[in-house]
Parts: sequence; C-alpha cells; structure tokens
Amino acid sequence: MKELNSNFQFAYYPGDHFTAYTPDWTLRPEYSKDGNQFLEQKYVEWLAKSNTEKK
Amino acid sequence: MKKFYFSLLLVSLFCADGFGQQFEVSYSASVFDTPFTGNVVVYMSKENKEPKDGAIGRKSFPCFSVSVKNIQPGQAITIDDKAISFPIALSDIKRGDYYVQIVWDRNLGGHSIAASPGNLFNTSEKITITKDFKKVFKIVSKEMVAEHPDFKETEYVKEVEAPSALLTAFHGKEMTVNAAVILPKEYYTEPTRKFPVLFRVWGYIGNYHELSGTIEPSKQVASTAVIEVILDGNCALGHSVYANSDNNGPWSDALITEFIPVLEKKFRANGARLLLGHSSGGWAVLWLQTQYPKVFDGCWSSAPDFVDFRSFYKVNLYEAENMFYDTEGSPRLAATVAGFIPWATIKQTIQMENVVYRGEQMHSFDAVFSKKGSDGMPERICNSSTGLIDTAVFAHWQNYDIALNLRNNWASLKSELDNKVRISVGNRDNFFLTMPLICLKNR
Repeated sequence: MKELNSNFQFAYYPGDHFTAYTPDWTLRPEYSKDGNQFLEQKYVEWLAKSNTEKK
Repeated sequence: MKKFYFSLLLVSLFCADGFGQQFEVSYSASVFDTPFTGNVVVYMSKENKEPKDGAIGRKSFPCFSVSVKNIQPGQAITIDDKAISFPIALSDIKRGDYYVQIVWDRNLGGHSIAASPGNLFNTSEKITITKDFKKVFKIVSKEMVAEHPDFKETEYVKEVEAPSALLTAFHGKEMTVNAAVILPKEYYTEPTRKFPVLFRVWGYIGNYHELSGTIEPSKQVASTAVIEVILDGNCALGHSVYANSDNNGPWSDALITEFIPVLEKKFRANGARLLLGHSSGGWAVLWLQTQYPKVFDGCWSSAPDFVDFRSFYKVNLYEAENMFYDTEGSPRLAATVAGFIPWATIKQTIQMENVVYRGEQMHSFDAVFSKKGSDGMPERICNSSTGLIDTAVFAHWQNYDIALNLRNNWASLKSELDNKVRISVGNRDNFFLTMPLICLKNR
C-alpha cells in the first residue's frame, strides 16, 4: 500500500494471535481504543457526508 | 536350507501383512433408523478422553476414514489398513491404550464433523492396541450430535435468519443467512432514534449461538451507540468468510442483497455500516470492505488470515514448489507458540485433514479459494502426500489475494476505499499472520 500511496492504517501490537485480539481485550484496553476510535471516526465522516447529500 | 527359511520368512511377512487390527463399526437403529451414505471417521487419542473433539492439525493423533454407501442400521463396516489414515496405517500405529470415537458424518451443514448436528457417534471407548494383529474392535454408535437449542432472544439480543434465494439455488436446499443482533440500551430509551450497524464477523469455530440468552446491550464503539450484528461464517466446508466462492456459494451476494435489507427493515438502522472482525473474521471484513467499498463505510480488520499470498504460512505461493518443506528441506510450520516455537507443521495439518475431509482450517481455505473439483469437493492447493503445490489450483486462488486485488484495481478503488481501512496484528502471531500484513503494507 506504500507503493500505492494509500492511507490504509496498519498497527502492530506486542502479542500473539490471541492476546492481540481487540474489542474484548480487557487487560490492555489501548489496543481496542485505537480501533474503536478509528471506526467512530469513519462513522462521523459518514454522518457528515450523509448530511451534505441530504442538503 | 537357506532357501527354505527365506521362503518361510516371505510367507510370514505375507501373512502378517494380510491381516491387521480392525474396527468393525456400526450405528444403532435406536439413534438413526435409515441407511447411511457418507464418510465414517475414527478418532483416536492416548490422552484426550473425547478424541473427536481434538484440534485437527494443532494436535497430532491417529485418525482414519472410509467412504461408504447405503449402510443399514446395525450393519457393520470394516475399517482397516485400507482406510485413509494418519499418521500411518491402523495396524502400524504405536502400541498402547487409546480412547476411540467413531463419527458417521451425515454432512448436514455444520462446519466441524465432530460437532455437526445430526452426526452419529459413540461414547468414548478405551481400547488397547497390542501385537495381536487379529484383534477386531467392535464399536456401535448410539449417540447423535444434538441440534442447537432454539436461540433465546432477550430484550437486547435477537436472532435474524434471513432466507437466501441465492444460497438456496446454489445448494439445492433451503438456506438462510443467520446472525445475532445486539441492540444498544438507547434503542429503548430513545425509541425514534436510528443507529449505525457494526457488523462483527467472528473467526474460525465461532458460533453466534453463544450469545443466546445474553442480557447485556451492545457496547459502544468509542462513544457511539451501535446495533451490533454478530456473523460467524459457519458453513459445511468451514468458514465462508462471506466471499462468493465456487464451493460455498454466493455468500457476499447473499449477505449484501438479502441479509442486510432484512436487517435494516427489521431494526432502526440509519444506513451507516461498519465492519470489525478478527482472524478469519478479519479476512472476511477486509474482503467485504475492499470488494464492496460503497456498501461499507469503515473496516477494522484484526489479525486477518493471509491477505497476501506471497506469505501464506510463510510460503510464497507464487514461487514455492512444496508446501511441506522449504528449499533446505526443513518442515514448514502451520502454527507456533509466539510466532517461533514449533507447534504444528503444515504437513501434519494437511495430512490429518486428508482424513477428516471437510470443515477444518486448510480445507476451509481450499473451499473459498479453489474451484470445485471433479469429485464435488474443493480442489486442494497441494498434494496431501508430497506437499507439491498445484499451480493450476493456485491460479484460481489468486482471485482471492487481497493484496494483488488492491494493486491491480487501486485506480478504481482509491476514491471509495482509501481512508476506510485499519488493520492490526500482534507482532508474534501464532499463525504467521504478521508477515502478510507487512507484505501488504509495502506492496
């Protein structure tokens, strides 16, 4: 994606397949915090776009 | 005289080879009173008292299978050295005590043979394999895997079973796309408000029925209340990953054109659709987002299955010849502890799945990525005896190489897709899922 000059986000966390699992991961909440904030931001962008289209 | 002893030795060897330990297995009419056609699988373990529940490929244990037709209740079939076997023929396995279970696979749709509702099995029996090559073990299956109990809906958790004409036409039997729906508490406190939907796809062996009876509302995404939809991808050949495929059928189309309209009509959805998944679920959501960028509005993919086939269990499928061994002859690994301590080899995994012939992880990949074979089953990416990669099969797999798709179609995808994807992974993934992401990132 680097060569394509894309804005995909990549995140690497210390841990394995199971410990890096995110939303229910309670011991290291920062893992899920980043992902949830990303999804919320996408929703905010959708709302803005949706409101613009309605106008 | 020497000639005589040599002849005697040959005769002895011939006789020894002519008979070995056998199982004579049948099922009781009390559990299933109609003829059986399908595969019968023998699971054996020295430690696991329920060997049928062993993790195929992750644990190594003897297993055997035969294909039979029109077997009557009470009719015994023989499982001997002619059966498909792992790791070696039945009469050659290590002597000692074993727990044994036989499963008669009716293949009614559950993804794991051992856990598929309707399949017949026996209560685990302990046997002793000795040097008595004439020993015959007789085992009768008197149990049936129970159907899932009805999903128990609560105030916050609902079940959706959306009829799918597309999947029904493909499989020739009634099919639905199912999910659990978890509502936010605001769904009731703000009765006119509409909500975004978070589609959360669970990984391999997840089952949305686990949420039956849940009384908790959905968790917020950061500070946003969402309707959460739990999809598990379960199908007869493993995890559909909600991709259209030659073997599993048009799951993407069914999800988007049949399930989502039912969902959004039934619940107060506002039209925003977010994706979240881990492992096979991570691959599924990345596939959906990249294939249908206008349908979905954001994707967080956690530790997705192989997103770049230049690193499939560290095998570069575009260049490698053998799935079992690297160029120096070292066995390739399918699973590790913390990304480097050997846990299971690819050879072991594929050869066990050659016996337990459907629904397991490697077969699940074949079912999604491969064409349907002449025997009606997915074509295999490699020969199960030698590990040689089938380049013709891999040619079809390339349609599902997410990194390749992105590179080839970026010009048309960029405007709709570019800001919508986040992918995370542990730096010591057990299944080598870190490297494909690095390949994708640097693509």
